[in-house]
Amino acid sequence: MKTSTFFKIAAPVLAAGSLMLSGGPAMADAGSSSSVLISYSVPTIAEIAMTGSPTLTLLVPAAGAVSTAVSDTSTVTYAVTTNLTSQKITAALASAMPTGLTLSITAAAPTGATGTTTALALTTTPQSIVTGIANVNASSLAMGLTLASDATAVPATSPTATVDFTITSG
Amino acid sequence: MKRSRIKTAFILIVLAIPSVRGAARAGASIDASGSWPLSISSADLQSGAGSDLVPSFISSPSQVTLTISGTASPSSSWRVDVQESDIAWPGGVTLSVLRTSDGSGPGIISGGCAFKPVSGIPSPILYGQGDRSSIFLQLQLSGASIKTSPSNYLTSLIFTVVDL
Repeated sequence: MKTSTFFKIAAPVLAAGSLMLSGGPAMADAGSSSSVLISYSVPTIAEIAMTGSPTLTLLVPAAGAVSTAVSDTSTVTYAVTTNLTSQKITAALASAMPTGLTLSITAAAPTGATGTTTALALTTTPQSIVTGIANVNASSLAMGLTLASDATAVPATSPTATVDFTITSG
Repeated sequence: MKRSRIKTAFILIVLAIPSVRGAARAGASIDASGSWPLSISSADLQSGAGSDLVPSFISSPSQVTLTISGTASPSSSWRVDVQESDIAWPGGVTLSVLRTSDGSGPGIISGGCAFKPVSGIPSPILYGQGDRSSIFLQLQLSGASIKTSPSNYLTSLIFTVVDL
């Protein structure tokens, strides 16, 4: 009888002890908690910067001929950063070129984008020179400029041309 | 008679169990206050066009304040764990936590004196004893990049005090 009684009591006691042991570590892990919210916002970033101002000089042609076009492919570079997709760079003359002169451009592209490898004659209307720009930052990207003339060109001293570059969607 | 004594002992043991668990629940508690609404702009590019965002952003030294209270005595030891619960958070962006003040109180505090990255798994950052208030934390956000699309990103820093 004693043995029998002992086991009847021991069973629940062991079970209770087991509960207590498993409850101990669980309570240590389930402490008081409090939280704070952390947020950050990223706006649209689309930046382009140009460096270099080349001088292109056309030589006086022989009688009855036109000047040979001159090019500069190393003076002008650009840098671009954007966190957007489907961006493009356009170029446009700030004002029309003097009569008989044509300014053309080529542009290298950042990774993943497409540039302009065949000289594109600039006008006062924006034209795409780099397309497919997406989430990229790149610098020292080359631009080439070519100045050409035809028979209608009038000799001039140091005329200047300003080209506006814009990064935009498209 | 002998059986009766044994039953009495058993009842006392069973009654003692909820009592012990109740004491554990009444241990240290923690309150975290503050927030960090960080606005990144193109001014945060390392060197303008052509460059990426700066590698990291640092909050004020007292961006988050922790208060530990309800400890049993000034010598009651505790630990503070931190984890993040991302609500809308881009991959590769990491939050780190640095303790910038000891706070005040009768006990002691240690740990957290170097930026520690926070993950989704609870990780200890502070140890101490007794009640303590005005424990300041500084936050660091690193890994933001122009590879991440424009948006608002949000996470929750969860601080848990554990009685030791």
